[in-house]
Amino acid sequence: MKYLKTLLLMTGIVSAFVMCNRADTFPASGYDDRLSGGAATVFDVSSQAFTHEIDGLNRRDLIVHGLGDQNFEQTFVADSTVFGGKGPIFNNVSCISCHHNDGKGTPTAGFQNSSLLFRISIPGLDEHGAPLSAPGYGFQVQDKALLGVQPEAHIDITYKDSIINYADGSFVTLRVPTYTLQNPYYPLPAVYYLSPRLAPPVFGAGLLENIPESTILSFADESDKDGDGISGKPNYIFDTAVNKKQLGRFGLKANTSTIERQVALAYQQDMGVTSYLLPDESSKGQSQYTQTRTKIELPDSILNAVTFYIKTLAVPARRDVNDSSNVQGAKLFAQISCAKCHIPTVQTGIDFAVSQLSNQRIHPYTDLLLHDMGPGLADGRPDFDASGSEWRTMPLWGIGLFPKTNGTPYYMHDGRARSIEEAILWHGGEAEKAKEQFMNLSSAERAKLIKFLNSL
Amino acid sequence: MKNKLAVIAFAVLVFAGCSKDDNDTTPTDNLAETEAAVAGNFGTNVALATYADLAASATTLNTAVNAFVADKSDANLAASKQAWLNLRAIWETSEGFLFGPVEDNEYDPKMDTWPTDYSEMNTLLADESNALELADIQKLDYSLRGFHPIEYMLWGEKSNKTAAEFTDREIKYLISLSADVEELCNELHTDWTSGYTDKVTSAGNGSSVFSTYYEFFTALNDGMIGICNEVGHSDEDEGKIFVPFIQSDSNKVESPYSENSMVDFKNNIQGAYNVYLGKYKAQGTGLTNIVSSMNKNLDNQIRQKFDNAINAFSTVNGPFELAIFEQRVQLQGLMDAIGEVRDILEEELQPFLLANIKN
Repeated sequence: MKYLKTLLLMTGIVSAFVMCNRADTFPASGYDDRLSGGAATVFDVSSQAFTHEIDGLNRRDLIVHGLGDQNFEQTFVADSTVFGGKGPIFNNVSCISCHHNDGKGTPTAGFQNSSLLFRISIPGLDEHGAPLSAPGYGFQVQDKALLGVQPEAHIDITYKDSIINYADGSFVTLRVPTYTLQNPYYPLPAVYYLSPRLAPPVFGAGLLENIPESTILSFADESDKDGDGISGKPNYIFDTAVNKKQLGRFGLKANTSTIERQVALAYQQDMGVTSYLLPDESSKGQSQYTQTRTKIELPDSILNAVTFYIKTLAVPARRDVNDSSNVQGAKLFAQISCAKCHIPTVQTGIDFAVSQLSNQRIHPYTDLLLHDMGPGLADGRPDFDASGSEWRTMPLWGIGLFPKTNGTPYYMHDGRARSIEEAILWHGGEAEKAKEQFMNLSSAERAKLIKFLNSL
Repeated sequence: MKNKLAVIAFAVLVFAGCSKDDNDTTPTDNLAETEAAVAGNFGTNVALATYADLAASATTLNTAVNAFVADKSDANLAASKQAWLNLRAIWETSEGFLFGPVEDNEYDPKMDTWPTDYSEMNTLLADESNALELADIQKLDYSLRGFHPIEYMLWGEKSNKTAAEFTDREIKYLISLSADVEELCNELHTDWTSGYTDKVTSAGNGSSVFSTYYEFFTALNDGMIGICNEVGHSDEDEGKIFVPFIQSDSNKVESPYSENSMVDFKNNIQGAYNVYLGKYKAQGTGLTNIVSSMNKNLDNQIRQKFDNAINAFSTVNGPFELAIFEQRVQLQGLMDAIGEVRDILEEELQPFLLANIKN
């Protein structure tokens, strides 16, 4: 009997070992490279490519996703029997107004199709390490207001050209933005920091939220021990809902910990719609503030549904993965060290609720860490642990579909780049060396690298 | 009868297609020809023709509104309302293919944002400092522009407004609103005449927007699926029929003042059917021709389900606002029929395109 037990145990160990071994050595070539989001991938190359739910959701999840979808598109108005609560000051009227087709938006401010917002703060940090809000403005400039109410300020955007020359004689014109606050409703602080943020795509967020913290931290190299000039630093933010520090994943400076908080912040700050997570109007304490009919304007169920909608938006599949230029482009991408921050392959953690997000091999092309991007891109506004020149590595999945989803594509944190090539040339700081290597490639090689990026 | 004729004409077409196959042309050549014909026909005879009608109809509305303003009779008010209904019918049909300029240049939110913002509209009408000229209107949030504010002005909140009830400010607002819609519809039409039509008709043949036929047909299918979802069915908790229906809440009805919601919905589904058939004023080559040439059964099913959905609309009588209380069985049947259209497009047509459209 004892013998039998031992035998069973040994068989168990052996088979467990065999299983581990098999999983470990399953070759990368055994995976389908098109599946950027693993099981949460969708095959669509149209303008709607970012708007699909992940396949195989159960009936209940489909219903919640659908409710979130509808509310993501819903325009809010000042006062109505339905969908009231907008303002009194705001940046836009619905989620979709900024996140066009669930993707990136248009770098203008003050129009209803504008997708730029501006964070504002003054020097110093509060007791939790958050930037100090600017008196009279909070931490975001709301540049629109209900009729008869004064917006906080108007944002003036101008660009001037800057020419970048390649060694082979060809050149690219970059546009360098200047942002100015005009017609402030309240005296601006003597010193203040302004940070432009263009609405990013929202798909795939459920997968990013499900990457284990240990995986993200394993990419970090804050003191650059390996001496490659690339550090990678996690941002830790203070989440008032749970009253503790948390790893930041979302937002262009990794300044938000969860999708739910990101959604609640957008409703409160961008639209002036309060929720149970953030029950105060963004205008509280300011002259625009008026007591609203209900304190919490967004039903809890809608906040939860919109959060779930974003969590369960599928990632569009890669195109033309076997095209020889794309294959070579991918090699060049790794060779010149782009892939050190834009990490191609990551494994998500376990998610018991939505199996398609669970334990997936995904290709987000990000480490979700902060990197110093040099003075050209710096906003000079620290945000928790992010310095004024650090930004979170932007996921590159879906980047080749921006012309489809937005009509005219824009890239980088404030949409200053009009093409992928411009975006590459804006890289500085830790990415300076990689950019220089890109510039030293032959024009045919550069074209292959860009073609590869367009296949993502 | 018309339907029968169409089916016969169709069968002849298919038969003609087959006999060609039997001769010396390879199936691939035939497919490529049909693909090009679908793109050409959709671009010119469906989409562009629809937008041309939309622009003309917006001008008619603006003319009618100006006639009403010149002579505030109830007859002229009725004519303006009719012009609004006619314009809406074309607009809702065009929503069967919400891609391209209408989406990229924000015409949809500029003209068709819902809900209307009562309190902001009241503030606006009371604020004499706003002259309510066209340029002033165009600076307003979308929820204060477009079809639904015009509807609210013309019909009134209780759908019983008379010509005598219009204030001077409301008249001014109405004139500028209809001029704005006319301008937007014309711009949308111009976007198609000045380049976008070519990008569609050259799909798969050097188009900068649709480099392959597969991309283009997927965009068509996404548009059809999208409008089915928007109108609503009970598979997902969304849609303009489903939400007011399940919540028994007429506040959530989209065109409540004109009581035109059921017509809107039917035109939406008809618009999607037009895309599939390649038909607007006349029958041209559509996705149906490609599907039927390879999978007759699938094509029959898709057309049957569209027909069922269109027919299901006639089972609902009276305005939608009442139907959500009084005709719930019929509405459920209608939503089920729309859901079946959506399901077959998503679960069978899309995989069919993926498997068969290789260029």
